[in-house]
Amino acid sequence: MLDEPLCLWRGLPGACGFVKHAYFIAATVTDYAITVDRQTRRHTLSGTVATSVPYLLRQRPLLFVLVTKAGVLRWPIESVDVANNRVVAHLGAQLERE
Amino acid sequence: MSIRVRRPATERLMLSDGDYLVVKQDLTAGEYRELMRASTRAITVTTDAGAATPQIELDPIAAGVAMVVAYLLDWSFADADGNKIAIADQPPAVVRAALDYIDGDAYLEVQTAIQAHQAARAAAIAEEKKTRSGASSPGRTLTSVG
Repeated sequence: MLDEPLCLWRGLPGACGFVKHAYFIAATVTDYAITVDRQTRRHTLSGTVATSVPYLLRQRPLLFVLVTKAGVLRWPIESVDVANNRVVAHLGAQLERE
Repeated sequence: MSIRVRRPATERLMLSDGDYLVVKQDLTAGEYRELMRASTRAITVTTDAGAATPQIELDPIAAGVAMVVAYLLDWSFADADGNKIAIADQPPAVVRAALDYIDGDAYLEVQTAIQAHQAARAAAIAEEKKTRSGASSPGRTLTSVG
């Protein structure tokens, strides 16, 4: 169970995560969920895109970042699809927590 | 066609007592505009004729903090209990709060280091431009004789 992320960016209410290219925020994602396929063990992120910068979303590599009270959690994004304010991304293995 | 976008890069600036800052190497145009916006304040100037004209002026105090917030990504600073003060990936409001929380001397060291970094990068970019323009002379079109 993840800690509640500190979502203070742009005054967005509730939990949110970030799609980042290096230190740039490509998208702010609210109402996210990370699911794991039992067979493939593949992690999939889905959520609502609250803010996005299309130019940055086209850049690679991208990371999904959650800032929590316990630290920052990061996953590499292997593929991402944004349409109608919804994001679906396949995530690689979680990177070491800082 | 020339490349007009830099890859996002970071630099580590060493401070006293083994502390360090991680900063953006350069700002993008958008970040620079945001820095300019955050460094100014609106004022109203009254002319001799008594007309009030809205203008903007540089706010030196705000400009210093805005520059630090624009560049700063992470640091090694710890709180009174020795726990690292987390600013990496935090929103600007959290970074600003952390900058307000540290000692005055520490803040001045941060601001001075980032100002020096900005000046060094400006000089390096000017040098790059000089080298580029010196190296690439316009291509000549040779015409055949006869």
